[in-house]
Amino acid sequence: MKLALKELKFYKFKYVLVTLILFLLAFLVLFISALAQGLAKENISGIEAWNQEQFIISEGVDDSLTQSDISEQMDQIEEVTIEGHNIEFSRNTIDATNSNIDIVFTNTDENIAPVADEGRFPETSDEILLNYKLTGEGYEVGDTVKIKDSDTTFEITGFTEDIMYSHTSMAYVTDGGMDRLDSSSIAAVALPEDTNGISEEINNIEDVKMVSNDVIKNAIPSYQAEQQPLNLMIVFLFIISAIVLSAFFYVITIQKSSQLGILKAIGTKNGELVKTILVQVILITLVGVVLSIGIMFTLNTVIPVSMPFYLNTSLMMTVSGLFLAVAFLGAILSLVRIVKIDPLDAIGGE
Amino acid sequence: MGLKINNLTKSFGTGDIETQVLKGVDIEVKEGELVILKGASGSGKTTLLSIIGGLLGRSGGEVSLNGENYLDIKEKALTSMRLKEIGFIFQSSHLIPYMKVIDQLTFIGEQAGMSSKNAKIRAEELLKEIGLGHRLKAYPNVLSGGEKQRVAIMRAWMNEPKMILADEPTASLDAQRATEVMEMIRDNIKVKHAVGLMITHDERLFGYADRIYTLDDGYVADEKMDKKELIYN
Ligand SMILES: Nc1ncnc2c1ncn2[C@@H]1O[C@H](COP(=O)(O)OP(=O)(O)OP(=O)(O)O)[C@@H](O)[C@H]1O
Ligand SMILES: [Mg+2]
Repeated sequence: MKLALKELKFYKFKYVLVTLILFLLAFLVLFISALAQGLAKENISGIEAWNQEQFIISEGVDDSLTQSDISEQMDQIEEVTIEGHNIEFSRNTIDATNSNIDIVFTNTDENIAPVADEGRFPETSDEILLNYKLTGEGYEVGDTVKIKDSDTTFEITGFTEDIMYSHTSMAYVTDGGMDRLDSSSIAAVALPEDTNGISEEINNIEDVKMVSNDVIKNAIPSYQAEQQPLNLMIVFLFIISAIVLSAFFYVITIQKSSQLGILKAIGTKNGELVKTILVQVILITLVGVVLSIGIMFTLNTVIPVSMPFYLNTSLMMTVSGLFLAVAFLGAILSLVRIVKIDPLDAIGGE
Repeated sequence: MGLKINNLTKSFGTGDIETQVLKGVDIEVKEGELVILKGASGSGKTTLLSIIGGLLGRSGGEVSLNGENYLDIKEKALTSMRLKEIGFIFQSSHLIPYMKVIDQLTFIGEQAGMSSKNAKIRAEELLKEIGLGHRLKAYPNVLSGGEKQRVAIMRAWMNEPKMILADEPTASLDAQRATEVMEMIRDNIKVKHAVGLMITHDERLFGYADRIYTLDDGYVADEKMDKKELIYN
């Protein structure tokens, strides 16, 4: 421990530099992760808000909720189960101040509907609750939204964060509100879990099948397309971090080979030297990661709501943990080297 | 008691490339004695010292310190023995660049189990003894070669070893510094009743030794024979 800290202190410049590199890498990982999570939310947060595991949807619509229409099969489905929560969908465009905005209108029973973060849930057929993001367009509680090319209007009663489907904001209306829209239909029946093993019976109904939550999410084309490259980038950043750290510590270890040989010759245990490297690696990683987390939190307060950027503590924890793991991995090469150094090399020569 | 070496042999390699460097070395160094080991380059001096120091395995023979055949103990125990009972002094000081003079010593003491307070007291004492009391807080890079080597010598003494092994400790020093360092090593060995074995080529230092062994063709001969040879020539 003493050895490790004294060395860090003496070679400040060298170690500050590598900490800086690590900080930048950690920052990039966190930033991309936050972006990936933000984009994920734009795609699937509406589905996650229901908190349901199984969905009964139409066959032959590529598992897309917006294309699914099981209205005609509802009688047959209800013969199998009446536990499910009906989800109605209707895709519409509203006239906004500057542009037209696509919105997925939804209605479901209050058991699985999200709560209003601001204002309240709609109670009459001409009321509506919007995704919070639309406040970015200037909408406020009490404002009116108008369906494009029609006379139908709704009064905003509240907003809820994170209700989106495939980059489209969702809006909740009542049963009556749904009837006022043209193309409304029952898109799915959601179940918390397949308790009684009814999936086979459901699948026997013509043009209907039961799929899991994950299938529905992964069927959203933009979701997969965005997550895959971002996740790939994150993986590569971790690999780069591991390589940078191992190269740095390996070079340093080689530089001080003869010194380490002397230490061993005069009786320093391998364990002590191994501990030195580990302490240094952990310290550098922690400082780098903590700094980057600090910057991320600062950034989070200034980034506008419209930007897909989502930061949570569990993500921070995961990334920090992974960084430490990667750092240990990077240190392995140096540790092997240290253990292999022969104290004999120290004697006689320089 | 002291260091006893009996019929020590050492070969490198096997088969065609086998070379026997030590063919049957007998050496005895009593407590309080400083013995110098000389010999041509490549005669095996460093090899011999490495074996005694537990850094290199031997091919055959016996080595004992104060009656104990310490070379056959486990690796961990041997490392601990190097820390506590053997003091090494090398050709160059090999101080740790990022440690202050005093820490070079306390570090060794603490590893051997001294409390940091006691280690500090002892280190200060040792460093004052060799006239480095004013350099305790200095880093090695600002010390002269002689000063560094003096620190290294005291590092070797830090844990009160029973045996000092030195491989050309004065090679990097000028004549005056070399004698100073030599005196210090000898005096410490006398006062602390340790065993001292030192490799050196420097004839000016031979006067400090109780005995001088010459390593030649895998065997050692002591000073008397050496003198005879001189007479024959
Ligand atoms: N690991 C090894 N493998 C093979 N041969 C070795 C090894 N170490 C030493 N030798 C050989 O053993 C012989 C003795 O080497 P050693 O270093 O002990 O000599 P020395 O007396 O200390 O020489 P010098 O005065 O130059 O330091 C040399 O011929 C050397 O090549
Ligand atoms: Mg040598």
